[in-house]
Order: sequence, then structure tokens, then C-alpha cells
Amino acid sequence: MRSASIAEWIVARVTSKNRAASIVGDLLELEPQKGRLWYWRSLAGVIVSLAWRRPLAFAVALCAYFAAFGGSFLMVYLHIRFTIPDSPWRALWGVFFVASNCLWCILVYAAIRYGARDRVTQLLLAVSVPITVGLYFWERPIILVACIALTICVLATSALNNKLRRGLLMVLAVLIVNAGIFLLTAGLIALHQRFLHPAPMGNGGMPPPLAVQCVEFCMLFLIAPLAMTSAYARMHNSLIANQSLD
Amino acid sequence: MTRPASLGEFEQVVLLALLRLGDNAYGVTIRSEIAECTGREVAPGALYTTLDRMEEKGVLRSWLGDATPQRGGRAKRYFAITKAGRAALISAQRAYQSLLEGLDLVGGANA
Repeated sequence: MRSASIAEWIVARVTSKNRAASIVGDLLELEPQKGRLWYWRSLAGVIVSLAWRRPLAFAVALCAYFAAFGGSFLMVYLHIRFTIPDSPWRALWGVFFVASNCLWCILVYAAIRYGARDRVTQLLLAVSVPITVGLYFWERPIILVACIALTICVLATSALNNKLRRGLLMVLAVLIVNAGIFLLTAGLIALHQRFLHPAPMGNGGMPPPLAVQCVEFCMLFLIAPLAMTSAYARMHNSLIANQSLD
Repeated sequence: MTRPASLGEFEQVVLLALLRLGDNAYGVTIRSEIAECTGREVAPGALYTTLDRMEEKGVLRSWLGDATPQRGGRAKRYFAITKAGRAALISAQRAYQSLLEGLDLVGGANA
């Protein structure tokens, strides 16, 4: 029975605990007729069937994250299409810019892992599109106002629906996770520059060494998407997927 | 009026098996019912992912039953077709029937 517990633990990594227990129970029920080899082969098959979407979703979400940041920076650099507002709106624009890129990353992840029919995926799309359009066309007041109004409508409508309210909570939590990693990275870089590698002319005087840049890059473009997608998947499993079972 | 959900061929097979099994539809019985009626040995992984997907679509629902000693104390996960699932299945079967009309495929000259 110990091997069954191990099998259940492994299956629970790719689905909910209740589902894992019932799947292993089904396989155990058939094991006396079909044999031990069939049991383990079927278990491997179940794990592959349930898990293949996760790495694929993460890989594509990571690409979307890179594309969102890289594409935007390239557009700014080449002076194509959009400009960044001057102070005092620049900081606010920056916050929404990072948030919108995170939303697209999570949207791609959710669409592959849970499908386009999933209500939270649809909510993510409904929030991401107006925010992104508003950011890119901020200098056109009509478009900006329409995008803000649309976003507020989507948020208000979602807050009235029980399932979508949980979805909103998930989206908010994912954005907080990402903001936390951004702040942690900024804090680490500042700490390093202040105590370990002080620049002679202040922070702007000298770029940080390559090792620090690598850590910064990994934190922002690997750890952040990994943490966001993991947090999203965990919350989706506990808040949305188990509803019909529990 | 909302359109019924579209169903794939295997999804229809699973729903028909659920209807045949009634209150005793869980992983093991669904597999054996499909094997008995269609001669098709379904891989457990394919069955569970299909059941999960169909539950997300709202065409079936599941609940946990009692734990039994032969399953190492693990509960069975029972499945039942929903109203939306029944409507989707009827719509899909009607489409098949209208396509079959006039062909005399089963037992006719084309058999």
C-alpha cells in the first residue's frame, strides 16, 4: 500500500488530491486482474495525460512574457507606434505596463492549460485587452476613456458573479506575486550597489557587474513568470477546479 | 436559447456509457462498459482527461462516493450526465441520424 500512497502523491502533483485518490483507487481495483506492470504503465500514462499541458503552457507563457517586454522596448527604441508619458504619469504608466505584460503571460498560460472556455481565462482576456490598448493609445483621450470604462465594467460585472469574483482574486494575487518579485529584485540590486559594489557617482554612474545583471534577468524573466504561473495554477485548482467535487 | 455544447466522438461514447451505467458510473465501470460495447480498450489517462474536460464543459458532473477496502480506502469518483450534456448528446445523435438517413448503412446493401 505504500507504493499506492507514493503513486497518489505523484498524481496529486498534476491534479487535485480528491481526483488523485480516486484515480489511484480505480487502478488499484483493476490491478489484481491486469497485473502490476499494467498498474504502473497506466499510472505513467495518466500522469503524462494530465501533465503535458503544464510545461507546454509555461514555455509558451514565458515566450509571451519575453515578447511583451521585448516587443515594447523595441517599439520604444525604434520610435514606432507609441510613446511613454512624461512625469508624473510615467510611474503609473509603468505599473500598468508591467501589470499588462503579466496579464498576457498568465492569459497565454491559462488558455493552454485550462482552455479558452475557462471563465477565468475569458476574464483575463476581457481585462488584458482594454488595459493594453489603453496603454498603447494613452495619448488619444477617447480611446483611453473607453478602455478605462470597459475595464471598470468588466471588473464590476465580475465582482457580482461568485466564480468570477474568485477569478478576480486570483488575478490580483498573481499581480501581487509579480510586484513582490519586482520589488525584491529592485531591493537586491539597490543593496548590492550600496554595500558591495558602490558606484563612484551614485547609482547612475556605473552599470552593475554582469553577475548582478544575470541575477536581475533571472529574477524578472524566469522566477517571476514561474512564480506567477505556479500561484495561478495552485489557486485555480483550489478555488475553481474543485468546486464540483467538494 | 443557448446552443448545446459540441461533442467529439469519444465524448459521445463516454456520455452513452454514463447513461447505460446509471448510478454506478465511475472510472472502472466506464472503461469496462466502453470496452464491452465498442471493443475499444481505453487508456486510463485518455479517459480521465476526457472526463475532466467534459466536466469543465458542464456536460457531466462528479461527486465522491464511499471509500472501499479493495481500493486501499480510496473513494470512487462517480459521474452523471447533466441536463446540458443530455441536450448536447441528443443534438449530436440527431445530426448522425440525419446524415445516415437514406443511406441504409446498417444491414442494407451498403453493409
